[in-house]
Amino acid sequence: MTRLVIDPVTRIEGHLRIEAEVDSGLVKKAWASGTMFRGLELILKGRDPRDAWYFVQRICSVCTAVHAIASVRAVENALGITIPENAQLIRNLIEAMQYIHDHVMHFYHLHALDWVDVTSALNADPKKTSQLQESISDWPRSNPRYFQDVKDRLETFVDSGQLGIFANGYWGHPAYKLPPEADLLAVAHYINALDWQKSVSRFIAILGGRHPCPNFLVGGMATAINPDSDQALNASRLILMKELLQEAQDFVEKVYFPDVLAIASFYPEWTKLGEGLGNFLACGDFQLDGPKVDDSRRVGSSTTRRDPVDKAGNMFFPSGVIWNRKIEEVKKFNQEQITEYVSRSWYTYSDGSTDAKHPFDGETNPKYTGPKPPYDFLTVDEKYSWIKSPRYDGKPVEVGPLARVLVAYGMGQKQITDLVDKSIRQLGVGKEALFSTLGRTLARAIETVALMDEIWGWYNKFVVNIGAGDYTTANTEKWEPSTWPAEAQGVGFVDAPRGALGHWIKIKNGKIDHYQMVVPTTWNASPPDPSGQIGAYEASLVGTPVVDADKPIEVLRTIHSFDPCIACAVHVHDAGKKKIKSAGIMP
Amino acid sequence: MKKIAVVGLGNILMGDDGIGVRVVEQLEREKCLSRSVTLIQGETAGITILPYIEDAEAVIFVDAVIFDGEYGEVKIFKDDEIQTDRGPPLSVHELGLKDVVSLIELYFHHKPDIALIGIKPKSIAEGLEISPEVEKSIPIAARTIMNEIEIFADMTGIVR
Repeated sequence: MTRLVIDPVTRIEGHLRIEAEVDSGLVKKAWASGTMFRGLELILKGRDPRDAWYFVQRICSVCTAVHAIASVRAVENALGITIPENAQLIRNLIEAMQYIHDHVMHFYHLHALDWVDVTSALNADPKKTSQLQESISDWPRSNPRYFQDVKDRLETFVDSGQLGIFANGYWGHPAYKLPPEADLLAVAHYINALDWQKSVSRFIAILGGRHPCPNFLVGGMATAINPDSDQALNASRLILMKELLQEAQDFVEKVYFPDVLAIASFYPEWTKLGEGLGNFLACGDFQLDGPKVDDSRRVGSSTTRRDPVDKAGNMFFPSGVIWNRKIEEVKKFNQEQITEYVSRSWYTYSDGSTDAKHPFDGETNPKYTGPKPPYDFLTVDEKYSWIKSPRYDGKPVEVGPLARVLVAYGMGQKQITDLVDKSIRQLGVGKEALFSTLGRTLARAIETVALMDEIWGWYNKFVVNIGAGDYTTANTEKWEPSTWPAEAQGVGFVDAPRGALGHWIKIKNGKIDHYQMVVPTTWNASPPDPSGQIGAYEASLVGTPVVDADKPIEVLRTIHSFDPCIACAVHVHDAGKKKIKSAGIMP
Repeated sequence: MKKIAVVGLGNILMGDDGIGVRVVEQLEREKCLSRSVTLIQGETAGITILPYIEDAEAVIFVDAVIFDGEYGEVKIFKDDEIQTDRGPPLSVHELGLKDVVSLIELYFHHKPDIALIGIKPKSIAEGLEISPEVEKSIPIAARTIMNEIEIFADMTGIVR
């Protein structure tokens, strides 16, 4: 029995530690720990609810827009504010482009290097790489001279002795199976993705005023529309947006999606590994005019008045819950079923209870009881993480692209169903292959293609509204706190790129009295609850083969397939040493 | 046109960690920089700021940096002092900053001059306030940056 420790897990956002017991080359048991305190909810108490979005979007450098949208939705829900259609369209456009940005960048910059050996790309024949490119799509950058140039740049980079972003990779590991030409192709696309993301960032900046951290507004959006002004969203900017959308779509359809399928075809065993819980939750997102799916296909308790997002099937990504792989039985999502335990996390509840609390009653009282760093192993039989344990109806669930795709598939959402069927046919696998490490990676690519297609409808509707003289982007009826009740509470959901995200707010006398967030990675990376049910990360690692315990690339493949995002605080390096202290446990 | 980018890094929700952003705000208020200088609030954006600095001949980052010295001390780090391997770390936003510097080599067709204006933080914890010792360094850091811009402009003949 070997105990392996990966700390920090690299190529993720934030600080995650994985410990695993390996016996006869297989993971028997695993523990995921967030070793960084996230207590930013505490900053919000006493502040103006209309400012909350500004602070929460700075919690995480990657998910800026989605935190802000969840926050304004929570306030709007509490105060009973409906937003104009243009505001809904602008939010859809910004959020969709954030998805597309995040998913593509996650694949190339964080996840692909689990499958692509960068140093092997140096052995590639640029001519064969060119042929490979031409065989998978009609992407124009396919000239052999272009791949020679990429190879030369990579060579210079590697020869400089500083691998930089590629440092600490397990290069040369026998688990890498791509031919060198595919490796070179992926490295070229890694660089292209960096260049490409400019167009996505510009698109968001046009609508949100800036990027990163675009501007939001309770009651709508702050985007100024005036076809005759240079300072506002005008005709020429609308045309630019169209060009940027086209650039985004070309890369998604001609590079990202074909790459995911091509790389996956070399790793068939990973459609059988890394499944996890088999329980999935999607809170749904992207409001539409009319129904997208047949809501009668969903079974279970009806939703409640406090549940703002679940408007039947009127969401491009429908909400729902799947238990035990039963895609054909999608249950209705009801936010009242969400609770959080802290029994294995470094928090206490003020009433001393070990019961779970709904986020409206949730608390963030940090109390570190773990070993004093530096330590060899966490005390995994006690509390061992800064991540709480959210449960739905008392049970652990996985959130994220796979959950959304499975719920949409179960509900018969057409775009998703077509893409899933096409992809699994091309890979020569069955639907059960989705319950795997590669299933997660494939689901992320599938929803990106679907969204990229759908976004045109929102763009066109927005242009039509402006053409008809509708420049309204905000409802300011309830802007003044004097129009608010003395006390109100609300919830805002976003099914963010990494999964279901909820913000719960209580407002008292015009100020924030209570604020709780349940973020996607908290669902997936949670420690066990009091009845011993483990979270998605820990479940997905059981049974993973580990060929070399010093280079556990197999563990990284599965963890990265979830796209962990724990960047909710800062990590402080102790100068001169390589140990990392979390901000929360500094003396 | 030759350009200089000044990039403020840090999380303003984490006390002194946001000092780089505050320094760039100060420069924005002073409005005394030439049009060839672009001020960028990078905050915690990491590698996604790369396209915003791609046409810069020089990039000056401002960030909280842990080094031997007094709280609030301002120190300039140049080229090789900003390491791109995993040596002793410099900045608390190190992964982001190092990724940026390392990608600059791979991504840019030219290699811009890089400087990091480091300010030693005292307290990095939830909160919007900057420690008094560190806050005092905002005008010093702003002057240091303007000085760096002048040196660079003299070297390359940028019209100020």
